[in-house]
Amino acid sequence: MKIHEELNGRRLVLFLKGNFDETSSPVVEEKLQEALSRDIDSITFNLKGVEYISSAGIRVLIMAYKKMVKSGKSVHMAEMSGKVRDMLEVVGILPLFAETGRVDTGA
Amino acid sequence: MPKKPEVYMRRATLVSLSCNIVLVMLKATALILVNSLAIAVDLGISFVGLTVSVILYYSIKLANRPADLIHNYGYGKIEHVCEALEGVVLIGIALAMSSQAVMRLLHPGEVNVPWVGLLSCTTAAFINFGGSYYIFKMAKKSSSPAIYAEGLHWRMEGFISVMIGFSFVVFMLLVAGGRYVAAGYVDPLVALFVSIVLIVPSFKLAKSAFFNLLDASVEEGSQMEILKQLGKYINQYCEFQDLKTRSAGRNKFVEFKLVVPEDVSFKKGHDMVSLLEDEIKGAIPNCEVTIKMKPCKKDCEYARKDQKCPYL
Repeated sequence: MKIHEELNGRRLVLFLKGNFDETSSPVVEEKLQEALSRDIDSITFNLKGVEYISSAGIRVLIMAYKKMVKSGKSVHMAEMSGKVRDMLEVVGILPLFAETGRVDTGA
Repeated sequence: MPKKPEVYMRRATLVSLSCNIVLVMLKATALILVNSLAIAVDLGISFVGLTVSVILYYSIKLANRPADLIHNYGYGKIEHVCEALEGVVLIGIALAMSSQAVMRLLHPGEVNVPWVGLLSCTTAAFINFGGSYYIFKMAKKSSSPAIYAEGLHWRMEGFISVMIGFSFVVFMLLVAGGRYVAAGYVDPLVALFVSIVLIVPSFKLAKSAFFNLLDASVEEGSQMEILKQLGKYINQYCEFQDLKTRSAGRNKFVEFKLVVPEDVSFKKGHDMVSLLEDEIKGAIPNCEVTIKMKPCKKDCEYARKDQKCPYL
């Protein structure tokens, strides 16, 4: 999976591209840990480039939500594909994430 | 009232065992009469099937034994041993028969009374497809990977019998058309083809069984079920840690730590853990769930700002 990040003030956007599965989820988790140590207010996962999300990916998203809430920060989702949205809806975690249709990073 | 999984498993193995005895006798007779290498491959597969059925019958008895002091997690893994055994033996047969087929291609032999071969293959195909339908039904009801593997084996054997039966039709047509040389190559070519076709699923079967023996985590559907339950009660715990799963035959094991607010009462925390355990057990059949309750370290933003914990 390719991860590209953009920082807009105190808002970090992670652009994910590829399958979000057991192979790529440790990489995203590592990025998340790194992001938590930074001085930011929110993380936005831009999932435009994600075609498939497995349970491993969903687990990382739940962990991201819990860790961000714990730190008083927020998590957002942007540009989810239909398949990814369906998966999050099935698992019942879609309402946890504030959605932004398009990410304007200002970059 | 639904029956216990072992009832369905025992039914499947009994059907498999008795049908395999019939198949081995049928194919051995056909081999003597027809002298076909393709039937020899088919007989080899059925013979393995019969041996595996016998092992499976006793393994299932063992797999259903409750956990004891020596095997604290039960005997479920014996099912994966059966799968691995079946895969490895089938690969061996396929390799041995391919070399025989190559030898026969270099020195083509004669096939006698092909219509007997055709009759034997047609009967075998009917038994195989009928058997696989029943075994798959039992596999679904019992959620047993070993029974499912047995169903796959039966279906594959059915296709192989159809293929060999078809080769006898081609052989008879070629002989009727006076093409005796070409007809001599049909049998070893089909035997070679069947052996090659046999290797792929056998390899996959052995590979998945070996992975499961190495404590593979539960399959994707069950993983999703766990996350669904964690998502359902997400606003009642701080976080979850060290989620680990493993499967042993049809039994599944799930464990993780659930971090709850330090100030939560023991009863409330315990109720939460019990609720999650029951929900996961209800969603995943044959599942054992162990959740350890862990107090939070009060290192969150709410504690720092002296705000009320949202999970209390």
